[in-house]
Amino acid sequence: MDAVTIGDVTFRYFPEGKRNILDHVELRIPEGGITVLTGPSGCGKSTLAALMAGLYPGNGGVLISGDVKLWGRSVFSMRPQERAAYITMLFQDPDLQFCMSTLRKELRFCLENICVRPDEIGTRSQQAAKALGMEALLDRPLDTLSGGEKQKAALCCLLALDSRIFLLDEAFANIDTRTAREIVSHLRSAADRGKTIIAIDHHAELWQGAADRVISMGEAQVVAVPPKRIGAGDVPAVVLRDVTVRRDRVLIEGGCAVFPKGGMSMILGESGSGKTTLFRSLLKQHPYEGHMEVDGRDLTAIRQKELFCKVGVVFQKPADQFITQNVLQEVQASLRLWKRQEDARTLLEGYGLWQYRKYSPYMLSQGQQRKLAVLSVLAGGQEILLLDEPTYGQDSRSTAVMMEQLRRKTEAGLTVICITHDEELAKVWADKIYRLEGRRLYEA
Amino acid sequence: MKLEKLDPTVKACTSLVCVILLSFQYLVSLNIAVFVLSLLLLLTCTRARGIQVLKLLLPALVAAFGLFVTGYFHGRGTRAEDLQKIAAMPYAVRAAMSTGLYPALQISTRLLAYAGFGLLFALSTDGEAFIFSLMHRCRLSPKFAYGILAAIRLMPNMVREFKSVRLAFRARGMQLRWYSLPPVFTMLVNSIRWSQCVAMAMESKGFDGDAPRTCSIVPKLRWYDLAFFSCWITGILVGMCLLRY
Amino acid sequence: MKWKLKDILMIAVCAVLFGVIFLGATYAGGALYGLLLPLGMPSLGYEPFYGLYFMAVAFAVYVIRKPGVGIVAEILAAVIETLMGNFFGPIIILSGFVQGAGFELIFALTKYKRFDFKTMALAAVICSCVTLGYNLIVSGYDMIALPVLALMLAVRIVSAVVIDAIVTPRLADGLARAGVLGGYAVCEGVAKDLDC
Repeated sequence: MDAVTIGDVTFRYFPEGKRNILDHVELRIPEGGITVLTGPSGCGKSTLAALMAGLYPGNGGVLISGDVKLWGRSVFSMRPQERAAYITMLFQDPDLQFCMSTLRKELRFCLENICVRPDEIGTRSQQAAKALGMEALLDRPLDTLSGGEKQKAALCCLLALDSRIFLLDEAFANIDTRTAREIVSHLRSAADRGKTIIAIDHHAELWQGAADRVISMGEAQVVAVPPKRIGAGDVPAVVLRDVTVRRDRVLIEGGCAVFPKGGMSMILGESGSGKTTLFRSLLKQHPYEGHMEVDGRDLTAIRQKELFCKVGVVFQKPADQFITQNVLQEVQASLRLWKRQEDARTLLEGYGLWQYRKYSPYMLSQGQQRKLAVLSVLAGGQEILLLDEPTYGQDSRSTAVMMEQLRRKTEAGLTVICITHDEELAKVWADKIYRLEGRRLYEA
Repeated sequence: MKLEKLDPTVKACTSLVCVILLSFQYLVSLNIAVFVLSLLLLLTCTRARGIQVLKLLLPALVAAFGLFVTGYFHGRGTRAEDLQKIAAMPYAVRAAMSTGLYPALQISTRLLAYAGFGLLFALSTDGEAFIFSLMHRCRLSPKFAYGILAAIRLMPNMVREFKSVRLAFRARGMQLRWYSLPPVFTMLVNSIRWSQCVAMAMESKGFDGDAPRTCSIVPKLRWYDLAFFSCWITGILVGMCLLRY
Repeated sequence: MKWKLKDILMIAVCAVLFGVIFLGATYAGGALYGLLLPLGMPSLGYEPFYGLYFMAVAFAVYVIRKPGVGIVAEILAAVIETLMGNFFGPIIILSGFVQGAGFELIFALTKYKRFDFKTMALAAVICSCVTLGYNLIVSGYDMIALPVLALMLAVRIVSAVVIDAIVTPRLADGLARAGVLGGYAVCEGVAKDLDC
């Protein structure tokens, strides 16, 4: 029997909008094993996941037609408590899954929800933690865990709840590859014990060897592999010499690096290794020791405003930097703020965003949001672009499209410095790769 | 005996009732006695460290000083019922009343007394324990209880995110003042997004809010909870009857 | 109204945000306190930020527009503030109730039909008066001379009207336009440009 039957599902977020995010979707997922669902971002994978888990339309959106059945029972007719026996979900953002302060308390919360007898709660929590080797972290504040540990803690809750389906929605988007692989192997053994695992993931390669079947939604993924540029960067745009950065502890010690002008450089490192803090130092927002140079001038000698005029930054969550409530205005605002004379329409068309000009930036998909952020930052005429984790919440195709656009810009003199935990991204796009590992920053 | 062991709801009720009682009196000596007693209890019978106490006490002292100055220069003058008692007062108090010192003390020490209760509660109570206790004693629905706990957990994220939003705005060339609204708007968008994500995560873990659920921790009322409550109330009532100024 | 978990969390998380903003604003307000010290009325320095206290209730009422929302939202915000370590402790739950009720009164009288500037401003004014009444009884403001009290009330009203009747509805309308408040009453009547 099929574990999940999705029949003729049509769903949209705004009742008065015209666009259906899911249009007459049909899908069957058999019981047992690991099923991976891939597809470009914006194709509705995450929406489908929330529907499968019965979280939509109760928490947002409108179901226009169709039904989702778990072993023949409509998921929408079940109460959350009943649903938890069938399906539980691991979400994308490790910070937004817990309501208690420690894993032990969170496990207790979960088990109380499904009415486990109080005297059994202790042992069941312990078992779940043991299965993932998390016993030592049971009483540590969740805030102090790394992203990967948090995802493992969330998986721990799923194990304790012991539902028949574990559903993962881009659960590895922001954690290091090692932990991701570890989680995959735990899920493999859960699948071997008879669980049904469904993973929504645009990183299908992580699941290679573990997945029993891969279903792709929407158009096929195309990854353009561009030629490497040779000869870029005789002139350095940013230089770090003997730089030490601390936050609570030493993150980088005596780091040296040269980022060439007109090149695309990447700094590879796991989350929590201090990459973002380094960016903050480079923007004069975090103290550092040593010497940093931008465009041949010492950073300490450059005034803040002048620095922002030269160096633009796009953060991991592009939604944090929208200053208006409309796509067109967003670009116009940049042009106005930096007193530029370009045409917003040409710029937007160049990035394929003109058709969304009247949208609120927050209604765009993650991939489009990041494109808009890059565009509106570059509209200010900055020569150096700092890019923080461009793959976050975005499939490889839209990342590729964006990187391709940036590549063309570098040929016109733009310098891109990108930090990422994604080895693949660096391998494909970088002219120069640095690694940040165990406090050391070195060229790979 | 540590005050952390007391039932949080009882502690909260104690301070609520005491505050209401204190708001019906104008006795400087009683206010000061309450304040000093609270601080003493805080330093001897709780795990709160002196520096913690000082950190929270400081804004209270600043506010009390503000009220003192305001009351001193812009007080309403002596109250009618105080005038009746005036004959029985020592010369020093009568002199103080004529200059506005006494009303200033009345209003500022009252705030200190409140702050004493507040600190005693805040520094000897674990937030989660308070919410659980409210759930059992005051029938706070689990939906609200766990909703509040989940929201509180986001506070560090929020502070961090607020800083990075402001940085992102300045990097875009915006001039920001501390009262600038656009970053607040962005933070509201984030907050609402976060709340939706957390709500879905909790629901996915089987949390219903209306359905019955088990409770592995049921806080019990003990004799010392009631003793704490009645001692404070009696103490204040006795003080109100016996003390004169 | 029947509260869903997502409604509670929405209000609670926004209340945490408003709490953080409030803390930041009181630091900024320290300067004002110092300036007013030579005039003998430093307590007036707190009044310009009073509107921030009502932001949670104003936001909740304006967005959700159902009976009881204001009181519940403000008590929720007060409990959160207690947990964040306010030196007044549990008393603010009481003052939260007073604020919530004060703000919601006018909407109850108009049967939750009008949420325009006038009604919001009226709510802000009533709430300012009610809270000052609370201060008179509980905080001992009855010891302060009338002219100063009047000045305090005036500043409080201005602050409440600006923050809760102008800024908060504008923020909420913006959020509705941005599409993050789907399903709430505030979205009705807010034009969304979805079609290009």
